[in-house]
Amino acid sequence: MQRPGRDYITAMHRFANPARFVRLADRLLPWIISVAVICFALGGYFAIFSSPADYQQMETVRIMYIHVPSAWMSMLTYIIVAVASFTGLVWRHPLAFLTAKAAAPIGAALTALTLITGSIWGYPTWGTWWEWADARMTSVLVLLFLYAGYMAMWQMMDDFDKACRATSILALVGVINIPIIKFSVDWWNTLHQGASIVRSGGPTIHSEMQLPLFLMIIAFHAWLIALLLKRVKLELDRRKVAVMQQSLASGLAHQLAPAPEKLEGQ
Amino acid sequence: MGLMRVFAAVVRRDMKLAWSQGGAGGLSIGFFVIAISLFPFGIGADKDLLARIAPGTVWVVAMLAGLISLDRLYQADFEDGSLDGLLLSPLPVELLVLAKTLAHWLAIILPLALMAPLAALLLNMTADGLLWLAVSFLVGTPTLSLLGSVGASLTVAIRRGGVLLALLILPLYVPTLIFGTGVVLAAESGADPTPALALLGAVSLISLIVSPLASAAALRMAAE
Amino acid sequence: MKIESDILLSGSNLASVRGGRVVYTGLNIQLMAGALITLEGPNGSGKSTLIRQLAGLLSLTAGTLQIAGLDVAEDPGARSDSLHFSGHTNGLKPAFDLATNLTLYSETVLGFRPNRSVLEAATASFDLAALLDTPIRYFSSGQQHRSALARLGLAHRPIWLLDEPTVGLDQANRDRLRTQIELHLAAGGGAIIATHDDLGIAGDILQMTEFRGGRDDPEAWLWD
Repeated sequence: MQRPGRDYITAMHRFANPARFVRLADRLLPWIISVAVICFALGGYFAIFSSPADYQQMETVRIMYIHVPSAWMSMLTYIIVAVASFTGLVWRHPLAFLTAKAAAPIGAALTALTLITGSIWGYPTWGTWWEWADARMTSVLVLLFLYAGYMAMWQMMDDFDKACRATSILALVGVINIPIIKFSVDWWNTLHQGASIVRSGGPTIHSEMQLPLFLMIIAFHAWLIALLLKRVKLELDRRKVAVMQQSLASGLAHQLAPAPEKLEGQ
Repeated sequence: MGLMRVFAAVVRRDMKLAWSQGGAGGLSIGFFVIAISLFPFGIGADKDLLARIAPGTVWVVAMLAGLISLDRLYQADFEDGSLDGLLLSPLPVELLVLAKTLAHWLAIILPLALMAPLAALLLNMTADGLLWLAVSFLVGTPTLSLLGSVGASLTVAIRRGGVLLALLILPLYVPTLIFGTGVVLAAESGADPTPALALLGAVSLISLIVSPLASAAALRMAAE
Repeated sequence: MKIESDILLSGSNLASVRGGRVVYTGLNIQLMAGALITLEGPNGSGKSTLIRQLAGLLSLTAGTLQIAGLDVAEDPGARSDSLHFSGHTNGLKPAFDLATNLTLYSETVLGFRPNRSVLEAATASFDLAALLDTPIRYFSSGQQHRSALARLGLAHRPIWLLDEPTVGLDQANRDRLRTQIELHLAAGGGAIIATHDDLGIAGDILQMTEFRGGRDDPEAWLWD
C-alpha cells in the first residue's frame, strides 16, 4: 500500500533523517563548544589586555568586540531562518521548518544584544543612548520586530503544517530588510561609520584590533552553531511530544513511536 | 467574460462590501479623524509644536486607521465561505489578491489620503507641506494595502489574529513611514523632496511584486 | 468547457493527510457523464476533504487527477470552467439582496454577468424567485442554504461537487434538489455528492472507509 507521507518527503529525507541528525549533532557538539570556549577566552584576553584603546573612544571601544560580531550574527541568523524556510517550502521536509523555528530566538537574542551593546558603546561616544535618524540602528530595531512577529506567529497557530508554511512565507517577506541593514550605512551618512571589514580595499581597522575581533567572530559562529544544534534537537523532541499527545487524544497509536522511556533526555 | 472583467468585478464587489453594513470603510475614516484630534488635546495647542509633528502624526494615524480595516480583507470571506468560491474563480489567486488590494486602496485608503491634508491643516502644517503630503500619500499608501494584504492573508485563519496582524505588518511599514514623512519634511525645510519620493515609490513597487506572491501562497494554504 | 469523452473526472491513487493523520489513501474515482457518485462514510472519513481536493481547494498529496480530460497538475486553472462547488458554508453577504449576491458570485466565480431572467430561472428551481430583492439577512438558514444551491442553475457546468447539500432542507426542498440533480444528470452532467441522507437517485456509492489511512503515519519521520 502506498505511503502518502513519502510523496511529500522526497530524497532530501535521507539526508535530513532526524536520528542521523541527532547522532551527528551529538558527535560534533563537544568539538564546537570547545572551539567556542577557547576563542571566547583568547579573544576576551586580547580584547581586554592587548589591544589598544582607541584615542577617541577610549576603553568603551572594547564593547565593539561583542557588538560587531553579534550584529553580524543577528543578520546571519535571519538568513538561516529564511534559507531554512525556503528549503522547507520547496522540498517540504519538516526538519527544515524546525531549524528555522529553532534559529529565530537565537537571532532575536543576538539582535537585542547588538542593540544594547551598541547603545552602551554609543552613549559616551555620541552622547545619546539612541539615535532614531541612524539608518542602521533603526533597521536593526526593525529586524528585532521581524523576529518577534515570526516567533509570535509560531506561538499563535494551532495546526503544525500550516504554521510551518505561514511562518516561512513571513520569513521570506522580511528578508529584504537584511540588504537594507547592510547597505544603509552606505546610503545614509549618519552616525555609523562606513563598512570597515568587508570592503574591496581590505579591512581598515587597526591591525592589533583585528586579531581579537577575528577570534570573537569565530567564537560567536561556533557558539551559534552549537546553540542551533541543541535547539533543533529540542524542537524535534517538542514535536514528538506534541504528536504523541495528539495521538493519545485521537485514540490512534503512532505505530512507530518508541515507548516514552526511550526518549532522549536532551 | 475575459479575465480583466472578472478582475474588475472583484474590485467592484470588494468596494461595495467595504462601504456596506459590516464593512470597515466608515470605521477607518472615523478612527482617523478622532485619533488625529486627540493629538492637540493631548499635546497642547502650541501651534509650532503641532506643525513640527504633523507630517509623522498624519502618516502614523493613517497607517493605524488602515490597519483596522485590514483584518476584514480576507477574514470576512473566509468565515462565510466566499473565499472558497473566489479561489475557484478563473482568476489566478495572485490577480485575485491584487484585485482585493486595489479595492481596499480605493475604498478605504484613498479616502484617508484625501482627508490627510485636512487633518494636517488642523495640525497647522504649512502650504508646501500640505501639497507634498498629498503627493507622498498617493505614492506611498498603496504599500499599506499591499503589505497589509500579506499580513491579513497570513493571519486569516487565526483566532483574534488582528493583534498578530499589527505586529507583523507595522515593521514592514517602517520604510514607507520614514520616506513618506521624509518627503514632507524635505519640502517644508526647502530641500528637494524628490529623492525621498523616489525611494517611497521604489518601496511601493517592491511591495507590488512581493504582496501578490506571498498573499496568494498564504490564502491557498489557509483554504486547505 | 466542452467535454469530448464520457469521462468527466478521473482520479487515481488520491490521498490526503490532514493534521498529521492520513485521511484516505489509494483512492480511485471516476465520474462518467450522466452519473451520480455518492460519498458515504462516518464523520472524519474524508468526504468533505475529497470534495475539496477534487475542486482544487486542497492540493494533491499523491496520485493524479484529470478533469475534463486535462491533468490538473499541468493545467491548474483549467478546471474552473468545469465545475460547480457547494460547501458547508453558504458564502452569502447578509448586507446584499439575493439578486446582488447571485450576480456577484456569477461575475467573480463563474465569469459572466447574468441578466434578470437567468436569476429568476435559477431561483425558481428552489422557490426563491419572490425573494430576489430581499436582503439575505432576513433569510432563514434554510432559505440561505437554498440560495447557495440556486447558484447551480446560474450556468451549466458538467461536474457538480456538493458537500452535504441537503442539510437544513425540508422534504419539499429536498425534492426540489433531487429534481435539479436529475435534470443535470439527464443533460449529460455528473455529480459527486457527500451526504448522510438518501437522495433517492440511482447511482454509485463510494465508501470512504475502504480507503482509510490505517497504519500509515506521516509523522513517522520523527522516529526514523
